[in-house]
Amino acid sequence: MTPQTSTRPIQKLSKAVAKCSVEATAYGKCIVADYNDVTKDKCAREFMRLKDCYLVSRHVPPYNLGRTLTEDGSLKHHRPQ
Amino acid sequence: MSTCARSSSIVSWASSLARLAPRKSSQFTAAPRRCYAVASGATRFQVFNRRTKWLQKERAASNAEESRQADYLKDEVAVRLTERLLDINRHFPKALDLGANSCNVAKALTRDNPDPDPNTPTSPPLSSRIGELIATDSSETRLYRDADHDFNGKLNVTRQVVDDEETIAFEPESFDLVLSSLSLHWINDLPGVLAQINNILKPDSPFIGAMLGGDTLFELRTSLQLAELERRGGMSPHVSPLADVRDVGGLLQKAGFKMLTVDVDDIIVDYPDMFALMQDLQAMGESNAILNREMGPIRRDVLVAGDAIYRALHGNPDGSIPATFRIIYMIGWREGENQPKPLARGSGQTSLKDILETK
Repeated sequence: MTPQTSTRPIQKLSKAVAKCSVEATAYGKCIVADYNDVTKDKCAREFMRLKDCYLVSRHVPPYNLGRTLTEDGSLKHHRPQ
Repeated sequence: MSTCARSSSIVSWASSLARLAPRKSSQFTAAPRRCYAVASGATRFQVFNRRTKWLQKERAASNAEESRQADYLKDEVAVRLTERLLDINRHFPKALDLGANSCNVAKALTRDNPDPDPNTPTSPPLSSRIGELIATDSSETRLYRDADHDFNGKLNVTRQVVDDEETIAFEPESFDLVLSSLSLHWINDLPGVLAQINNILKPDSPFIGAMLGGDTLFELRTSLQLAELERRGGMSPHVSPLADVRDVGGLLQKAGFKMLTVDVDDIIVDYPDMFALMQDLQAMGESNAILNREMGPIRRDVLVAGDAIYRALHGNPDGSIPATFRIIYMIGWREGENQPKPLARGSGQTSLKDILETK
């Protein structure tokens, strides 16, 4: 059996999400605050922040256009001059 | 036992599963059954897709290295299961390992000094008390994965690939011992399989089994449910409905076993994140194989949301996440002559109250 050289998508996802702990914690808190009453898009705002973060940290265009992930996990927007 | 009583026992087992099963599946609803109009042998509840399960096992074992790395749970449970043999002071000429996975039980049987008692630091491996072990599994790749390892030489083990794990094709009264480690939780017709195990055992011979049950993976179950509910507005089953401890005792009894022992053991494993847990489950061949599941992979959004919820709801302070595996161990004996039997009701001479009060 030859060793696998390609990285599986789930491993890429795992790495990308690991860089977004701030957003993930915020989303998790929003759900856990009242987990007996979860409805669709209850925490959509928090989730979109989390999604924005992991898409950028995966470096998949076009999501990272004009945005970079800073050291502390927040997004930095670059406005074209 | 009449057909009526047997089919109602299956219904009661399935209805206890219905608590955990998806609401939308209708096959679990225990409708009032009219006993005089039941076709015999027709009640078979299909919960799992056997072919999907077989494919998952084959795929998992085809990557031998990854599959061996994820064998920690099966090896540990096999060791704990075989330790129960120390209490039975007997030689077993012919034993069966039902649903052998990659022969983890055979490996555990050949361990040196299996007795954990510090007073007996050296004890012969349990395999010295077993004449022949027949290991059956539906997945050939997984069954033969470790066929060239050292332990095979220390034990007379015969591997046998079976087409259908739910039909046990052995002669009645042909085994002195039946073992089963972590495979019964994928059986659709558990009452039927237990009755067949009872049938192939010789009189006064034990069946010792271990299966996942109860609250196994409840963290993953709840996290994915909340994530799907919030992201998509509904949920589909991702963790199997599992039998509970209460159910297992009743099932063994209804299958005709005597002198039952059922106990529970929680093994909690910490993982760095939910993705690592799911990858390991896949490498174990324990991915989701419920019939009514949503086809295709889980959506990425749900996975990301699930991981965040898992951490918030169950996470450890150090950032890792725990996953609970609840193992139900069961021992049942086929009825035989000269077997100890419970005394008749009301025949006790000593009051338990007196003994407990003097202590």
